[in-house]
Amino acid sequence: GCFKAFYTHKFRAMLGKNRLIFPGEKVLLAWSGGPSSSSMVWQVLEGLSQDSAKRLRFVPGVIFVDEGAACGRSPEERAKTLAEVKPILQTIGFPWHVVALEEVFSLPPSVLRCSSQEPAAPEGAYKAAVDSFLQQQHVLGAGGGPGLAHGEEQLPQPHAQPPWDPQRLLRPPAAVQTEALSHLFCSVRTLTAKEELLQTLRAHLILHVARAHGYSKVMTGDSCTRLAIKLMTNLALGRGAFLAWDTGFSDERHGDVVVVRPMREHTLKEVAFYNRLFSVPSVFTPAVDTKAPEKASIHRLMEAFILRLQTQFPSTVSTVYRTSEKLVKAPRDGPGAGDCSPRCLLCMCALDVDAADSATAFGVQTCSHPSQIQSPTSLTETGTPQGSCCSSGGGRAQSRCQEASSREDPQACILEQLCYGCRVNMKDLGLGLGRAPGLSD
Amino acid sequence: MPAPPCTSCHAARAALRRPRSGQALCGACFCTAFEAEVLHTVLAGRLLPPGAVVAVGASGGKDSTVLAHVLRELAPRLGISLQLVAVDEGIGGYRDAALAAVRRQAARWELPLTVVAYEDLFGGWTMDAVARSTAGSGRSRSCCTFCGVLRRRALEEGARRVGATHIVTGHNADDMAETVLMNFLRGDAGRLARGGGLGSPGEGSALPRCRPLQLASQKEVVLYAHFRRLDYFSEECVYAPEAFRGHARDLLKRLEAAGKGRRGLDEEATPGTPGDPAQTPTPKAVPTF
Repeated sequence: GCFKAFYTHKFRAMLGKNRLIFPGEKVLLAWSGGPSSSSMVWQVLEGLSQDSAKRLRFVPGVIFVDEGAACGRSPEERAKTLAEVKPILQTIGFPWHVVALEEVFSLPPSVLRCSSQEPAAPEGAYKAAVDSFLQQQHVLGAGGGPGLAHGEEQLPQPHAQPPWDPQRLLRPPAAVQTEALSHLFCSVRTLTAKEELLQTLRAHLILHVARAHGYSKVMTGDSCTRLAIKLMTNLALGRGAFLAWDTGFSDERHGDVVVVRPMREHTLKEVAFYNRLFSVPSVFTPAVDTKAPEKASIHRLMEAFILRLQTQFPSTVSTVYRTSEKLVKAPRDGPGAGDCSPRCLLCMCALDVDAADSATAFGVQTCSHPSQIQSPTSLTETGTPQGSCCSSGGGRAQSRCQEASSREDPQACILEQLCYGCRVNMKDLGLGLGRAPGLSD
Repeated sequence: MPAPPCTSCHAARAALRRPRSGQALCGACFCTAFEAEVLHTVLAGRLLPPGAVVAVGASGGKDSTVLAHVLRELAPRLGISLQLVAVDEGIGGYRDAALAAVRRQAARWELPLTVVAYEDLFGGWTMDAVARSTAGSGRSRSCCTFCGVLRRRALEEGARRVGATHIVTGHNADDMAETVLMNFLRGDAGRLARGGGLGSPGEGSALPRCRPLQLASQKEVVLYAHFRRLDYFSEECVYAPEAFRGHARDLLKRLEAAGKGRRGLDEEATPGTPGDPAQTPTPKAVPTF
């Protein structure tokens, strides 16, 4: 009883404290089948069905991404998982989307462009929105029958739902696409890069579905434990500049769709207990690193390290988590540079590599040719972009191509448009950049 | 299989491959390249202006030995003068031997040496005494934390006594990476906010300090000391096994094994943390992050 109240309260408090989800907003729940996201979906389900003033007020949908091709699963195994997934989705009752990862091949290039950011709502906007929503409800409730049961049915739908066709969504992807995806993942040299690639593709796919169906928010089920591990992992991957976006409550790098993490204060232990005590359904799906040994990838290593350190210093996970809360999203060149600064082609974060950094470690690493150390001024020369490869970048980061365009090397040109972490990952892709989905334009 | 020729002078046989670029070099060319890179770090970051009196924190270990040696080579070009400052923490069985190494170096290089002891500076407290007093209290694992803070203070004091304008320490890239990891694990947002960049311009009345070896990996520092045949003290401090940094070091070693060159630069990617509001924007000499 008390545990349930505490657990639920944490969830609500996280949403309420941040005041980012407005009433009536469409929110896409990213469900992987795993315990944390299952718990999250369940919390939303319970939260919406409560008939009190504390009821959650947004309009949810659920997305499940079938990553079987990337993990090397056979079509039969994938169909089996989908057969387990379907009844749970039907029980939940929200509009659901089952998408195969293969669909990344049909994503338009626009998914890699950051849509213009909506201006941050002024302070009072949240409260005003809630008040007007409650008023609307009250009016509707009074006009209809007795009690709140009617009010529930008359929840205003801000967007007309597209005609629902679940059967269409369950059609298995074309074999050639599965083959292509499988080939792509097999060509990646390290498990670390594979994991990162998977996360990137999954994020883009979910983003696309969210945009296509009018969802303005995406909720992911990352727990406290996972986020602490993610923070340390990303540090080791060279993504230290983006920790606030990768592990914070809200991630608005895509502009129009904001990713939120309502489970970030729940530890894995709490999630496990809750799911067990209250029979929250979940589906086990093997991932790329299931059963991989500790040294296989940086992700695995960091996970083992943190969990081991936790046994000696029980405050480790919460300390790392609290540190992540203190991270501020400071744009490098002061305010105002945020929106129009060049973005990484893959992860959409503002580029953290600068030609002027020759004295720092970045400079040393990015200009691996030793003679450039003697002539630092050559790095700061800006040149006009040449060739069509640069113009496809959508008008961003043109000055970075001066070295690459002189070599007419499309691979180097793409590397220049990536943040440090993504560059390191790219080097582990065997097929060459041209084949990666979305980059061939 | 015979070693390939050095890719720089094409004359001698290569003696090593550089850890980051994999470039094959002979001993002499490697040392030249190493010194050139340290020079570049100092010049590009404008760390040690001409006329500076530089206090080198000398512990007798490999990093400070290499640092002192390289700076001594570069001193004419940079227009700086050097002073060695050694700190005696009062750790029996360790520090006395290390100090002997420093004295030998000072004699060989003909550099003035000043020794500052905790006992004199901090009212009779030596590290052994600190360790004894924290031993039973449950804080015994944290005596290294005290030592770090006290030593920096002692270094400051020593530098002042010799009239120095800058302090340099021999921290290498591995140390910096460990520090970042350690600060995250301990939740030290304050140190994270202060730690980026190539040093500190000196807050309050403190002397500006920097770490010219910051971009050199530990492997390269050891190799340099080997090729230049430098005499240094290589034993570990008696209390080191209990230090929290050991965990960060262990993690770093594992990452290196798993990632093969990835770990290089997580120390550069420190995020913006809300620092102390009084913290002024760092001057151009220190690259901001």
